[in-house]
Amino acid sequence: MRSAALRWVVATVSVVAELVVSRRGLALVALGAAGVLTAYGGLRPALRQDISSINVPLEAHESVARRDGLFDDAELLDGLEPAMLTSVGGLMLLLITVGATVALLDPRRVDIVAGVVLAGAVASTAALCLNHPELVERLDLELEERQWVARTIWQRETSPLTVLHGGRAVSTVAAEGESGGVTRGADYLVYGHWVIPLAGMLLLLGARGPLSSRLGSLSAWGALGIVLACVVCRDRLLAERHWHEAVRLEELGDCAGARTALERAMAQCEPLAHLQRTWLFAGRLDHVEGRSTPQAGLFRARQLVHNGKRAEGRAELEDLLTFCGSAHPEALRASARLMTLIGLEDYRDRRYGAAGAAWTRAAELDPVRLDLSYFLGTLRLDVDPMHPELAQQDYGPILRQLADRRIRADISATLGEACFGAGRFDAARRHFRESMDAFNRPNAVNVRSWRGLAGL
Amino acid sequence: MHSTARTPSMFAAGAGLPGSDQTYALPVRRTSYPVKVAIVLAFSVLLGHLSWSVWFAREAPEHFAEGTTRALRSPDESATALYVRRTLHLPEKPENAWIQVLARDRLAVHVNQKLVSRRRDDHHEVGTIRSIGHHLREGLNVIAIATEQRTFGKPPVISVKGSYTLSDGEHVLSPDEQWRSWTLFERQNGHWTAPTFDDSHWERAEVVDVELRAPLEGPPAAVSASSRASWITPPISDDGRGCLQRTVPIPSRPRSGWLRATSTGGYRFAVNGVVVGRSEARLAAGRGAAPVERIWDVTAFLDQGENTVSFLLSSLEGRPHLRADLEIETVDGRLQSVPTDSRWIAASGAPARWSEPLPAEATGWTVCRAEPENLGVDRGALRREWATSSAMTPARAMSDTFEQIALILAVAIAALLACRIASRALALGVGAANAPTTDIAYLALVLPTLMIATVLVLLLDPRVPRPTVYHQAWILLAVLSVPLQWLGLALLDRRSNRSPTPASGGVLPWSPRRASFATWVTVAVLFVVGFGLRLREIEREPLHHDEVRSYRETLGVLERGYPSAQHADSPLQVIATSELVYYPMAAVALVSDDDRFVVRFPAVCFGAATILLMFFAGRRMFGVTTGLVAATIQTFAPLCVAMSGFGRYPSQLAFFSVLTTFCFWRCLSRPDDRRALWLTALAFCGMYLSWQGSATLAAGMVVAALIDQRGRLRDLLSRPAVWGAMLAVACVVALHLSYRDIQAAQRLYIGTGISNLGLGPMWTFGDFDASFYLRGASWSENPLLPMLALVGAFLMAVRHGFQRPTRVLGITFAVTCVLMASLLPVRAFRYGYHLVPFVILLASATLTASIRALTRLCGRRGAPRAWVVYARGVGIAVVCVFVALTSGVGQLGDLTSSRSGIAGIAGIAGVDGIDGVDGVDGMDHPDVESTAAFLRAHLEEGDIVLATKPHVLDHYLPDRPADYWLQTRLQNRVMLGESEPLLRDRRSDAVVVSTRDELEDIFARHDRVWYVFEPYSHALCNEALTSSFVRQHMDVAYRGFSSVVLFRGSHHRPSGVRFDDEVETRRKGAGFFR
Repeated sequence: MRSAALRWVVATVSVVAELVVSRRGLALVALGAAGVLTAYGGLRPALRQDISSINVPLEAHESVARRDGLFDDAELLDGLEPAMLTSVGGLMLLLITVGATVALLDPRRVDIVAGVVLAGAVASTAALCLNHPELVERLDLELEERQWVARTIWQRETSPLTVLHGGRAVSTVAAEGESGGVTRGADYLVYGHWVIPLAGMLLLLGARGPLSSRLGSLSAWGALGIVLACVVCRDRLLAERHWHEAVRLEELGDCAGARTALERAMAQCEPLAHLQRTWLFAGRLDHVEGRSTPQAGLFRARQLVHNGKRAEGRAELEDLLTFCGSAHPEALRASARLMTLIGLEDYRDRRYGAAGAAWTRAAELDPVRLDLSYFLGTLRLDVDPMHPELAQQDYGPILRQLADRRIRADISATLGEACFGAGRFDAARRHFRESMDAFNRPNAVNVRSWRGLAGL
Repeated sequence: MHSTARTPSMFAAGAGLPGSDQTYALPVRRTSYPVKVAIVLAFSVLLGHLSWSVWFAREAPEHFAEGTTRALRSPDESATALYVRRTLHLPEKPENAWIQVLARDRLAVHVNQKLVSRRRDDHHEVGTIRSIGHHLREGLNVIAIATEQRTFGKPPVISVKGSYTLSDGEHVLSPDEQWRSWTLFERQNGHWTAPTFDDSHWERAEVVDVELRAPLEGPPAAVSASSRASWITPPISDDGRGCLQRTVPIPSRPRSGWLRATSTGGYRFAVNGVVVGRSEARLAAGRGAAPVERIWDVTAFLDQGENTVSFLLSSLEGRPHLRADLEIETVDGRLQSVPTDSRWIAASGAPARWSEPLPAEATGWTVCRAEPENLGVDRGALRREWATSSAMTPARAMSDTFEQIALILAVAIAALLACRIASRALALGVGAANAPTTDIAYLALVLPTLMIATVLVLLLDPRVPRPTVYHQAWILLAVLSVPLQWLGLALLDRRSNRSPTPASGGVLPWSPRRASFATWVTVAVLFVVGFGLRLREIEREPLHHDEVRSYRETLGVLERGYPSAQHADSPLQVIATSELVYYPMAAVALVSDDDRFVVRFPAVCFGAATILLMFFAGRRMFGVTTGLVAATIQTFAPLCVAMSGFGRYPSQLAFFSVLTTFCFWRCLSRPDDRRALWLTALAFCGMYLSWQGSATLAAGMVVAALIDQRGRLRDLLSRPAVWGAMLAVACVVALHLSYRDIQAAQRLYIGTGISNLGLGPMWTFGDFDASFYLRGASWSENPLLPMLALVGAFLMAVRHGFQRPTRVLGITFAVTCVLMASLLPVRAFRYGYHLVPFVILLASATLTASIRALTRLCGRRGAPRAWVVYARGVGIAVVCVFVALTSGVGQLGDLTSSRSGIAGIAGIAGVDGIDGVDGVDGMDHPDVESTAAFLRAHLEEGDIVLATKPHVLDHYLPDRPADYWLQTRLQNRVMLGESEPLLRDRRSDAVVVSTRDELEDIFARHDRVWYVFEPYSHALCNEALTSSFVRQHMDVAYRGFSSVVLFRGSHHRPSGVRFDDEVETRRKGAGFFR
């Protein structure tokens, strides 16, 4: 009896295992993995949670069409955008689902399914990288925000967990005038692009015939994917061509030609007009030609701030804001960035009042920035250490959305120490525990929280 | 012509089942078409790239200072650091001054306490050339230079060259008796880089002749040459812009060219129509401080004949002025200097095509007027800076790429046509009946491809100059060698007999008996060579701190029968991780008292035994050739050699992982072989008890077995022995985990240690890297070739005679890598070392397949014997080049020169320090032995000793154990003492100094305090405040390799001095003790 039961268990296990490793089973496992990678993949901001590809529209013009309340990069960053079937990830999931159904019904078609998924993955990855220049610029700015926050943490804390370089994003901060650039989006890809090699492997292993024909098939599907990518991203690619022509003409001193090429670029891909780099480039042209435009104002303000003329820079920014009001969100974003920079310089010089004013103004201009929440909270702790609850309120936005576990651990530990110093031991214990939960590894011990909890 | 049988895909049940015991070749119809395509592709890509780089690329050339030079050296030949300084009493501020310094490994140049340049390239020579005029002043000045030895057998030297120009002419700076040297960082009477520092007790530096060759930032003359240019001013338009231009005839091909420019406004300049550089950061911000002279390398933009240099100036505040020097050196050695003067022409505004040569009918351009005065700019205050060209735009990069692709295509078409013609010609020689044999013509492309690949890989070595690699001689050699080989083949064909045997037999055309004898001799030679290479590692470095622990715990085996350690104020510590590692050490300890020999000799033996095991595994899985190749790679792999000299688990673990895999393969290939099954279980237990993290291999093995045995899983799973073996392994793991928990519960630890880590979802962390261990499983510093071989193995797993073993190995390897990266909370390259043999085996299989594919090109029947020998020779050359390039040639230099083999290969970045005590690479072994000897000679009664690794110091100084362990940041776990409630180091019993207050208390109660530390460890375990305190109150007393002794005696440092020091340290951006 026992022997029969054992035999039955072994037989069941064998059958299940055989099913899993069968041609059909392996294909479904691979496609399932592709689906998981697509659903959880997308873009990875330096501070916030990952942006899933099922929230990002496929084409650039959708982003423009949805600007009026339906689609917003800021909401996307905050994870407020709903999942869409016509999104990059939605279409890929549809493709994978159909492919899995075909593979389930006819496992001999696995190679075709894999080829279609491969081509789709190439195109969707390209769309994710290229079709949303504003979003990518946001990610670039957030990377810079992270860098500023990390530096401030290193300056303030004795045993920071935050790393200066690295963290969630593998990219480095964009060079001047390169944020939102054509290659920047690729630096923020997470998981989703792994579908390309996965589908490639599935294609090679699932196809029949000699290796050369399999490789030929892989090349053909890959080429189809590139063609699809070019079709999906045609506007951006053509616009970038005009953009580079504008840069070339500007280098040669042909401002009029450069302006024409820039206008062509913006007409081809409208979101390009809302990038800070476009504004700065147009501002340079306007400045050289002596035109008084918001762009020229921003260009002047930027050069003043970057050359240490903070007061003049700030005055120029206020002029700009008076001039253009809230009509140009990109100008507000750029101004907020420069205001934050001014505040950091003031903070470094221990001019806390000026720093606070600059950061508060910056937060009004661009409420999406997370670094300002950190700076204002830190400033509050510096000037009013006996009321950590106020600092906690300031830290609220960043703590609600922060995905960088090291920075979260540091901020919580800072709050814990502040509460401990103010005699609020229960709150201190809570913050230290939150900090320990956020990050503690054998080779990167959360010393401050260890010490705080031990002291309590 | 070559039809192929329809073969099952990977998913077909029963695919790749064993065909024989030796190899598992599928009945695949051979076709040479992919091989020919691969050969032509590789040849055309490499030759196309080389040709483009030589003839079409516009890249700034590298600049080296080289040759025999006079250099400064310390009279103390055992010194590992060298500090030299020279004071200059200047009657006036110099108009121009520059300095060129060459050294080895690391270099820092200071002028009047300002850090002018810092270079770091361990195991190579470093150099810098800088303008220092703006740092010098009237009166007392000092030039201070520091270097640190990081390479065995190469003591620190400093070569100095330079000059400064006063009103009475140029004065030369050279290595002479005016330089004073010291071997320690000093600041007793001020910082050693300060002009007021009293260096009367420093020794005069010795001057010796040395051979140095180091890269510089740019052409030396750009910094050293005085300016001959005048300020010139263009007319400006309403928008404040003006243009300047000069046409320069260059009589012969330019070898190098630089341009140095400064302006009172913003400017951009173009050479021959290409905008090369711009300086417009203050376009809208007005004038700032003193203008800066920027230097551009313009070599890539110059041509023989008429060249045009154009400037576009702009300014909001008055008329912009320009001063620029252009210097060109031609290949025939002629120097041509083009300063700004009245020969330049100018125009207002920004005329169309301002950057291009002016047409004859151009109007609006006038002769430029040179300013008679210096415009109030103090020449001595001008800074000279190296600038980077902005000419490499994405458009240009794309254009370069298209050019390369076009050239590669052209080469490919030419090579293909030539090969076809040669094939026909050679076919005529062997007769129409043997037409397929003519594929051998393609083989002639392989050797030049190998040559170019070798040359290009050499480029990774910074000592190899680019012009040596990108030289047309290589192209000519590569191209000419092809027809020469064809000619040789034709001649050989006429002279040799037809081969009576098929060409697809073994690699060498020997009889089986002779081949077998040669194989075993080769294996024996490899074993002896490998053993010798590894044996040298024993004495190479002092003991690592983990090795010191291993030694003490090994002595516990001799005393108690199990690995353990006993300290005065702590319970007996029984070791519950890597237990199996200690017994071989204990066996060696029975016959030797040498600590290095005891802990390292077993690792050497396991390392050498792995060579044999690799041969057996390779032979059993793929065939004799693969076994030989795998054993060869394993013998010479730099990582394997270095790891075999490390007295811990990696070498033993790698041995057991190969053994496990080998036995596992036997199980899969012979399901009825129970002995292999139980041997697998036993080997797995050995591997697990060598390092517990290796258990993740089990998951890979299970997946590989399921896929390999599909279609027969019921048969497999119904065998009781299979379940029994798995149960036995599970019992060992469960028992060990319980034992570990029991041991951990016996002591009160504070903190988190690596030994009590558990598995967790690492993908929730931002720095999750799923491919970390996959990329890290390279045995060579540069993973390019191993990873290429891995790709080849993947293709074989798709469809090849080696499909089945490749799949088993590949799946086991890949699954284990991903699991380790996903679950292990600590990431270090050494944790994946036991997976390196998998990559070596897969790469060997790829190479073997390549040899066979190449050999088949000479045909199956009737090919001339000489052709067969030639084809096999080419195949062997492929293997030899691969082994050579991945064994460190061109990447690490020779293996003996690298002190920190492990760290060098792993590429672990060090921690920057300051000029006094620099940081070290993460895995370098600090030389505490010599430090302890110094301490022994200077310790007095009542002295206090602090250390970052007290157990290491205790090992070398057993009669005087360290008193305190300085760890103010809880990096390593600490233990509560048994007799009194003190935090103690579990490795040595030293009391832990856990706060800065405790440290201050020690300093208050004791007059003489020593601190023995390793900068890297100190930085990890201490906060900045602690470092600051130590830095301010102690002086460097001794320094060895990565180990330093600080001393605090009666010498008190007043707060003012301490403050100044601190400011100075921070201003230099140094991370001393950070």
